[in-house]
Amino acid sequence: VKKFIIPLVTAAMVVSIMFAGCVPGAAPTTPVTPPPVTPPPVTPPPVTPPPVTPPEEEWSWVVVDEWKIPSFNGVTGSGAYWGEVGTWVCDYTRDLINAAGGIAGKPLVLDPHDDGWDASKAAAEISKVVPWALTSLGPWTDVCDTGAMPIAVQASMFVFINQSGATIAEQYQPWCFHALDKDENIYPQAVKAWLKKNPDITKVALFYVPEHAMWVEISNIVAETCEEMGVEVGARVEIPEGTVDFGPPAVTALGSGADGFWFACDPIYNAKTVVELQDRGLTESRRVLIFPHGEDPSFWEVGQDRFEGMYIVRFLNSESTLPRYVAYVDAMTEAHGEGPYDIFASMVDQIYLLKAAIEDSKITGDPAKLAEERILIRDYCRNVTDFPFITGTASVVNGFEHNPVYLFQVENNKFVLVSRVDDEGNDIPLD
Amino acid sequence: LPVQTYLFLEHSALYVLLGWGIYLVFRMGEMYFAPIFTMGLGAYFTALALRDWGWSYAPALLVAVALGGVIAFLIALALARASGFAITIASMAPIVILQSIVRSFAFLGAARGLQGIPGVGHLMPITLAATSLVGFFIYRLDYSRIGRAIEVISVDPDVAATQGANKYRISIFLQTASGAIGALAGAIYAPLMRSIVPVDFGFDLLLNIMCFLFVGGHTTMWGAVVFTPLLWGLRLVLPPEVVSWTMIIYGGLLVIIILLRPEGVITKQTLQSIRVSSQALLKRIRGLRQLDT
Repeated sequence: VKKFIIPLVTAAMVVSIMFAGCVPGAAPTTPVTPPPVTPPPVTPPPVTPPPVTPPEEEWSWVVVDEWKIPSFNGVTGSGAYWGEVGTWVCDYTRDLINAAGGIAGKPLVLDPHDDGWDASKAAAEISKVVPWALTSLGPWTDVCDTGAMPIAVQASMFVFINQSGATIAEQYQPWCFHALDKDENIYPQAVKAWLKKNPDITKVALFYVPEHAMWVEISNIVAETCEEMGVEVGARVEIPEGTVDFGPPAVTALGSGADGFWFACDPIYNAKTVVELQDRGLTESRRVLIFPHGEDPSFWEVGQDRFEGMYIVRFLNSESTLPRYVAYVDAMTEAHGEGPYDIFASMVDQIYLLKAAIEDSKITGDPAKLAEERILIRDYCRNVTDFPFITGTASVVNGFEHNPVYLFQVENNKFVLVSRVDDEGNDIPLD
Repeated sequence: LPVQTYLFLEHSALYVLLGWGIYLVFRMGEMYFAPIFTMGLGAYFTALALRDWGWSYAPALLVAVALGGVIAFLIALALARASGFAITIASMAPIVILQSIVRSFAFLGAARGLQGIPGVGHLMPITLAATSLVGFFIYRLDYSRIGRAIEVISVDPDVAATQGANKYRISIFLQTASGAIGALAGAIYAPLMRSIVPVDFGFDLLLNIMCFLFVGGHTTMWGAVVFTPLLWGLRLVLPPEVVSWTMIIYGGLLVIIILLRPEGVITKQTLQSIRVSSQALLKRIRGLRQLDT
């Protein structure tokens, strides 16, 4: 028996690694082949570095040698791909800031934590940092925040929860910053615009992952908007995590008589379900609208050339030609190939917002003033007017960043900006 | 207590309780996963009682435990006659059913879950007392007449039947107790985390508990007691670069243990040898004292 133990254990370890999900440095589960892409017809303007920090003597009130800030990214678990890219974006921003003189003359040091996309793990991880951290970058998923935020709130620590979901963010105000406007300020506008551009849609089917509260809530708002617009909701189709056969959800939707389709699912689920819909008779992808987190390299890998005309909601202009954004996209492309950039861009923004909070509020980093300085950071970040975010200026009101709403459409295997929309779903002329 | 230590102790106690819930029925050779489901039940009941109905913690806790026990009892009436595999599958189903029900009702918070659950003072002593009480119950049960009957049933149900052990009744009793223990864990979890979502009570949790139990040892109650804090504590002491590998470490450990020591690290023989050597040590100390006098 002993002869077999070592090979068996080795084999079992390999299998366990496969089952344990992605690990740092691992590739996304679907091999990524960048789809054929027409580069944007934009000559990138010369990259101007971010504002350079004034000389060190100006920051005489700082008592720390470095700004150690915890950064949460789920690099294992169901969303490991997102965590991996999120980690890269945090590191990228840290390097940019440090190259320009750091924060208040001191380098930014990120303290990485893996929340594993799990509430208990997130709680355990945030419990490590609440005794000393000024603030925390993440966790930034709804499930993790339900575990971590009560602990942060109890410790009066402000947290940048990025895009965990407006309803989650509302629960934990005034202790968090949400890099996305409230759902009711984004999705009704986008859905109205989509329906106005496709007036022949009479019945909509909604696809969503039931495990993600944020996605369910968004889908509910979409349903209300459809009804308000006189468009019937044909079916609400749940696609649970771990689904492997996307035929039944497609059949359910088509069986309801729907001729328009809303998706709030993992990118690969969106792609596979759309392909199933197409295999069963859907001929025009313009009848499909997906939510901002609904696209990644695996989405294009599955879809190949089949998504021409499909719409997506975005809250940042991913065609922005602002130098900082262009530089960010170039770096991102080099590191990760083609991918959704706008979602992660808000992570860059929140670190720059933190930098501004530390510098403008004269945060010292003195552990004796921890409680007081946490409040200063909170008060600064919750209400900011015309902050220079990476794709343009925007304001933060009571912890929520107010973003414009954009509608993009697939053209030559790439989402291309169609319009910026107002509250009634009408086009706003682009700058 | 520092928040990290506090959470570590609380989570360890909760996972020990859940491990015991599964261990209790597994003593009869049946894999029974309902404690995860009743944990959800207990957590949601306690959350609503504290947050929306204005109950104080003591009645909320007691009713949650009773509710978990009653629901497990009702399920056990049907399940107790089933074979081992059927019990495994049937006890998994309520986990999915509970999650679907919660997601369908707004008053349960739907997919968003329930937030803003009031905290409870002295939760740590309550948790320790509850865990000790359950531990004492299981310890006494292990060495009682029923405990010995359970052992015989797990080896040979037919022989047990000829000795007068009623497998059906014992199975109902164990499943009910297991359900109540799960609900107790849930009633502690809700005020501890102050927010709950349906996915908290799913298969990820089950896999963690199974790992703690099967690595620690599933033939005695002490395997879960010793190895749950050790394994859960890993992610608190490992450097950040290694924390991401925790699940892989769990998986690898589980495979190695199952291959090399199928009953887990702490077995009955381990306890017996500890007992024998401690008795020998005590004898030697007593002998030395007598020599001194």
